[in-house]
Amino acid sequence: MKWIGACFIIFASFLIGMQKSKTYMDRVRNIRQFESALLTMESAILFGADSIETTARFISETGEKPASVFFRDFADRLASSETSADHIWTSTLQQNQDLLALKPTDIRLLEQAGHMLGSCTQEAEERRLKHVIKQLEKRREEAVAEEQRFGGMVRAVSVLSGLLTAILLM
Amino acid sequence: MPYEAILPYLPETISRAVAPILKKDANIEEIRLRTGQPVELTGTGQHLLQVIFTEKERLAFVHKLTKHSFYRLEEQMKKGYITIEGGHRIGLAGQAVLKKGLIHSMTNLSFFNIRIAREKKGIARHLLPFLYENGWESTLLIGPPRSGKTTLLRDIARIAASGQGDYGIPASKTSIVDERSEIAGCLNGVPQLDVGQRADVLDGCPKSEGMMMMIRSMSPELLIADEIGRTEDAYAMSEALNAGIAVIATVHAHSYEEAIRRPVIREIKESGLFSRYIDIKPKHEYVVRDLHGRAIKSAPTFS
Repeated sequence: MKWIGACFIIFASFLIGMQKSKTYMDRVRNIRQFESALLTMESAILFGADSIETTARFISETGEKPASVFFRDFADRLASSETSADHIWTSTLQQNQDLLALKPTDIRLLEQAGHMLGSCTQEAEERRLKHVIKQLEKRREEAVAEEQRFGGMVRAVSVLSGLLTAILLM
Repeated sequence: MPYEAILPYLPETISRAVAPILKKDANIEEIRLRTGQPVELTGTGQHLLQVIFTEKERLAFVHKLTKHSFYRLEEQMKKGYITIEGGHRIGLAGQAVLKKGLIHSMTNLSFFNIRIAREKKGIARHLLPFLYENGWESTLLIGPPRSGKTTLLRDIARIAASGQGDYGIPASKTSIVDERSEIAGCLNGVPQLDVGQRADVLDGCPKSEGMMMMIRSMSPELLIADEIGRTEDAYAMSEALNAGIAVIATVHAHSYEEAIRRPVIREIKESGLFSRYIDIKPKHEYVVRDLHGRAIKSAPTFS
């Protein structure tokens, strides 16, 4: 019985460790998804052919979750709302925050991408999106480094702490 | 109803007030929205509505108009108007943004003039005996603003491109150079107004370049252009006419005499490029002139 309990504690700590390290991985994935989505938006704006709503819908259909969920929500709200795209972007971001494994600073950066979205010239839109994409690139590099540094460590520490707890309880 | 495409763009209160008037009065030509001011409808008379176009409504109207994507309409905005479904044109005024002395963009759009596009099919029928004699006669339509030049030109284009059996006119390959999207009212390249089955439309392109492009690429039998007046236009038209292509164009003037006082038009007249000149007088009265500017006869009035 003691052994079964010990195994359970170790397994539970392993799962907790995995979950924690997954947050690091998810953050990298989310940043990458938004980077690619913003690149798509930038090229749509550059060619001036599609509206933001059409582009957001395209991203939602071709992209991966959870960014695709955010863009679908954003496109739906654009279609039905009379407020500015800037406002809709921020409120959609805040509402979908829980789906994303992003830090508050990342969210603030993404909010910048929506600032004045759809209400300024092609040149200004492009410049702003380029700036945010560059910042996201830096964030992604940081997130990858963090994942490499802490991801494995969190997993190992979790398993070891589970082992220690089991030994102490035995 | 031609105005139906406009209503979804209008704020609800304004749409509700405007719709019954537009339905009742077919002569309404413009809906004018000015921020903080009552909505105005103009046509034969003037209707000042009790509804105010508010700042909140202005923002919502701009978002609807641009589909939250200002950048898409930047080029159109530089020209001062945008075209919506149905070929209706929305004239814009606000704050111009200049770059090196040229209009770069427009911001704080606060004044809107919605021009309702109405087709008047058959308006050109009475003129057909003067416009077509074993082929299309190169013709210059002369008239002041709002005299119906473009409406007449559109109907000529429609007849030319679809043919008119009772007058023995076959359908011809008709190329329309629609610099200001007024003739065909194109939206995303698709004509919103009826310009006939064999019409090819080059939308939003400067006339002179557009005419040359159409001559090279579309082998037209008839070339249609609106509001000519620059030296380059005259050159492009002479290229077309010397290539055996008939040209029907409009020019902005109150009369034939006033038109030929303009150097470009005088030059065109002297070179004998056009075989017909049509003076458009108020109430759809026309004076048809020959190559030398002599009145052939006054064509019957269209009503």
